[in-house]
Amino acid sequence: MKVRFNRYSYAVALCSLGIGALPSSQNSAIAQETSTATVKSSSAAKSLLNADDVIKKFVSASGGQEKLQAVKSIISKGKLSIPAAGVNGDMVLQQVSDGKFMMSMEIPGVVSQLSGSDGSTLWETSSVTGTEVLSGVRAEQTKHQMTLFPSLEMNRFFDSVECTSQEKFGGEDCYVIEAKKKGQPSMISYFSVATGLGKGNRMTVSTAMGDLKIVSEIKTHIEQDGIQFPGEVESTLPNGMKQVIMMEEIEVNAKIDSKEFALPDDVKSMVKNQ
Amino acid sequence: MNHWLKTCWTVARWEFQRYFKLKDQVIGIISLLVGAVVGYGAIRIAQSAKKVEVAVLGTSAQFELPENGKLKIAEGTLTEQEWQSKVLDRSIDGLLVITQSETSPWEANLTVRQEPAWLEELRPVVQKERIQWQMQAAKLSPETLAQVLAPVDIELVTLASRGVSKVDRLIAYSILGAMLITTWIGLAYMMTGITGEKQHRVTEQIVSAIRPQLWIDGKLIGITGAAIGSLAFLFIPSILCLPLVGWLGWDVSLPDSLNRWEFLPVLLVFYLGGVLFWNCFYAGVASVINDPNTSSRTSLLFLPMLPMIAAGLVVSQPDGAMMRVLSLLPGASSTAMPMRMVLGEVSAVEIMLSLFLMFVGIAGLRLLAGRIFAAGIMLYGKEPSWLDIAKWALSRQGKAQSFSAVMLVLMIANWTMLLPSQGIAQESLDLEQQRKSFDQVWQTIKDVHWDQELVGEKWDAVREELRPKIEQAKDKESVREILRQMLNSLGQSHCGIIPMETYEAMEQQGNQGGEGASGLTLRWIDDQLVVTQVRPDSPANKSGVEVGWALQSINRNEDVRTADQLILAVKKATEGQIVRFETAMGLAATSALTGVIGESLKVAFLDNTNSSKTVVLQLVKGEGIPAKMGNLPLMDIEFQSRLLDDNIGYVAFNAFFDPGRLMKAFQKAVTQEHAQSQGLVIDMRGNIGGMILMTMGMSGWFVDEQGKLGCMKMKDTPLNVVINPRLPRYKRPVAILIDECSISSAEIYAGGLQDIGAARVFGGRSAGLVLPSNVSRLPNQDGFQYVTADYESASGRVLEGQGVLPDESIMLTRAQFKADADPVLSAAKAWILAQPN
Repeated sequence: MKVRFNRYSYAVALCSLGIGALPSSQNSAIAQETSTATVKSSSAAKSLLNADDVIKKFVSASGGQEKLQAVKSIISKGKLSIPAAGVNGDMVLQQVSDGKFMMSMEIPGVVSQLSGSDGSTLWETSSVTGTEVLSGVRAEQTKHQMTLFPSLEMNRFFDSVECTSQEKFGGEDCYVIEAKKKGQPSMISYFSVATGLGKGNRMTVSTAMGDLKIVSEIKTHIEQDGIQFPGEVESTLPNGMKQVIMMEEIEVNAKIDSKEFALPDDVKSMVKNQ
Repeated sequence: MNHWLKTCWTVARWEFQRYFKLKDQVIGIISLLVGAVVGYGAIRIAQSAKKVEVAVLGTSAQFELPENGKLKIAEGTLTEQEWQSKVLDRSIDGLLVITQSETSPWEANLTVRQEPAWLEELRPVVQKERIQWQMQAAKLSPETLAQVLAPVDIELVTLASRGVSKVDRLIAYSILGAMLITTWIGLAYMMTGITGEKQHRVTEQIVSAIRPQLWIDGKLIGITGAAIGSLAFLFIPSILCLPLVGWLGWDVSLPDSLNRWEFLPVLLVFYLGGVLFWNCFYAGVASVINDPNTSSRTSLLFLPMLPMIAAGLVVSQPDGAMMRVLSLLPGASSTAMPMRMVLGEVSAVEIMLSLFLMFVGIAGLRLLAGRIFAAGIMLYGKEPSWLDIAKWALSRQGKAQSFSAVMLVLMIANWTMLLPSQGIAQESLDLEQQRKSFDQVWQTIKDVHWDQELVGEKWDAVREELRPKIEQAKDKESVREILRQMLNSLGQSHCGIIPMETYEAMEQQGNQGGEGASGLTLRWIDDQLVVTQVRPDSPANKSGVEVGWALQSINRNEDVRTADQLILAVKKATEGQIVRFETAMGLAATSALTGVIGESLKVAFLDNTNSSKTVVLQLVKGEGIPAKMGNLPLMDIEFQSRLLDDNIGYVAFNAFFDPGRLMKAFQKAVTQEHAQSQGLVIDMRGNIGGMILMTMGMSGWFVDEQGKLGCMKMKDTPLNVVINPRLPRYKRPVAILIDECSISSAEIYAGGLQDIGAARVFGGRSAGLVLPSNVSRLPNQDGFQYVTADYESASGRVLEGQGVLPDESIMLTRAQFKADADPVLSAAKAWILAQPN
């Protein structure tokens, strides 16, 4: 049940063409949708909710702690597009609860890209740019974004999580949650005051090409198995282009063969040579 | 002699010989001598002319006339009327009537036919007579009167070590004159040289062969030498004239100022330094001027005259504060200090300080001139802004900033322009749609552009000026012109409007099976449109067309277009654009020989013996496969991979598009087909660019570690064009071929791999149109291409406007093709075979 896209490099690459692309602040946007876990308490002003309360409200709005905790795997299918560049594609993301994932993205005639993790090694391979084994901040960010419910893992991936203010985002009043970790750019997430659902985020995404400041807004939500998932997520890239991901199909607790997460041969040789 | 000295000396000698022609100098001297002789003769004739005769009435006094003067007192005892008659009939030149009495003021009346030039000579004579009369009227004794009238005898006592004579002053002003003349000559040589070279293709070859700083050093030395040589030849007549001066009775003995051993060497050093200093300045300024006749920057070239003229104005006080300052100021010191040395008193410390500052100034200016020259010499079209120039000057690598250029769109427009007449349908204009299109173009640039200064107030003003014009637009073409005008104000490549009709035409062409091809590639060589490639089994190949043939005309359905017409059209289209004429010409000429499949073109050439040949080319489906990418029009993408002689792999493709097909084909070529080859040639000639993403992927097999081809500087975000190592690594030498029609991503690819030493580049300088861009569709359905980032190669070179310079630059001539069908490929192959296994 949750859609988490982490196509940083793809997004960046398309930016470079000018044919734009999506980054994955969407992941974070989506990530904030769920969180049943404890989050470090906020030191925000008294008039604000603390981060714990914001996340609890969000969990409740998303479907409730019980339903979210029951999720062990997700298969998400959707479309991505960059309207200004006339680019359209398909994507499929398979995730399981122990940090393994496999995502494929296909823009017909342009690029097909795979990325994944066997639980320890994170990698990406593109028909255009080749294969990479991720490391450093980039790997950390991807790991977080590719957990089933990133919001539940914020205290594991960040040193502090605080509700810092309340401001307008995407046309709605939102609680602002800032997650910080030494040596990493902070991540700011927005949660609707009215509904409790995630509204979007701002984050600096580390990519092979450099750091990208990306703003993602969750435009719509769709319900699956009683859980609210982001439906349409629009991300604004540094080159001003917008990338849209529209989720079409979400399968919760689907059976996924563990072979799906096996490292490709070229990744194995790269790991061996490292 | 090391390489630097050897090369610098070669350049300096060449520049010297280019401007200093002994024959011309001798003719110049002879002309001057003839002029001097004629002038002297004229003076002598003037001096021997009839004297001015003036009659004097009313006084018995004898006028004391100057010995060598023109005046003479007419003799005779005529009446006033009779003298007046003589004035009238020109027997005498004037009648002076003096009226003197004790009761009325002393008066003098002069009657002449016209106001005379000798009046000023007469005035002191008459004045003296009046004084004498008044003294006598005051009843002074003759002795007193003599004392009063006698000139005051002032005995001059000078405390300085030496005196200043008129000759000293003459020498001081001669120094000023010599400096002015020499710098003026240097200005002329530097301007004609550099602005001319900017338009010559041979410049690319030179820049490939030697570093710009080395080139400018040689140029400075050579031109300085030529300017000084020219002055020396002007000086020779002066020496020759000295005996004449002596004959005229003038003192030609050396003054004290020159009778010092240190004077002449010091003077020479200042003189040389001054000329060199200003030549550095001229080199820098000339590098940023395109056309000296129209550039507003030409006025800067007169700047050196100011300090020199200032020195001339204040030299009456040679040791005054102003002169002291000027004698220390580099640029002015070369004139002011020698003048002070002649006319004033200068300490050795001042001289040393002045020389030191001058040399520091020369060193600094040389460096700045080199940096500006390095970037400016390869640019032609729009002049760089002052900000650009400042950036070059501060840059260690003489970077060029972005410049205007024809964009990718131009190429597309060229194609469509040359397709069978499609005509743009006239249709009613939806004004609201056009307004929205204008707003989208303006706002996109405002939001996305990395240079916020460029899209600040000036960009707002552009909107204010052009937005109202949309209301008056009569058709879509007028709207496009307004939008293009707006984009042109940015002065950057990859900004343009792609007409909706272009998309339709390309779609239509795709539906008809693709582009009709003749199999010919043409380039601008030796001022002709020359065939540089004939595809095997193509219509051109079957008709016997050979490389080296020059296009004369194309007859398409009895619509005949001559090569001259095509050339004129391209010249007009590229006027005022940074895009190089040869880039646009090569693309347009090659496109002119494409069309609809099955169509017949009657094409006239000059063959390699310069005989006329006409062939009929029935166009066939080209080797390209139509591909669509985002909002770009449909394009035919070609890819070829073959094995050359000597087991050398060869890969070529015409654009970085269709990644789904090209990436696989390229990978197969590198990792399978040519995996065991001696080396690999990647032919980027005529490649119009495309997805930067593909340049990253196509580089992976040539590197061991992750690296980068360059960096895109987007608004607030730099993005590296990274290379991920790909397996299996291709370990043999890689040669990349480029020419003036290698554009955008092709340049990023070639320049990036060149920078990291992964490939050696052969051919001619690339187009220099590299800014990353995006294409979107406007509400009026036109395409809109806009820049999204500035770009620097891995080593920090800015390729926009300058292009990639090959490691081995090969200048093509028609004659070469007789011996070698592809000299660039041959050079690459020779290099590959010379590499160790």
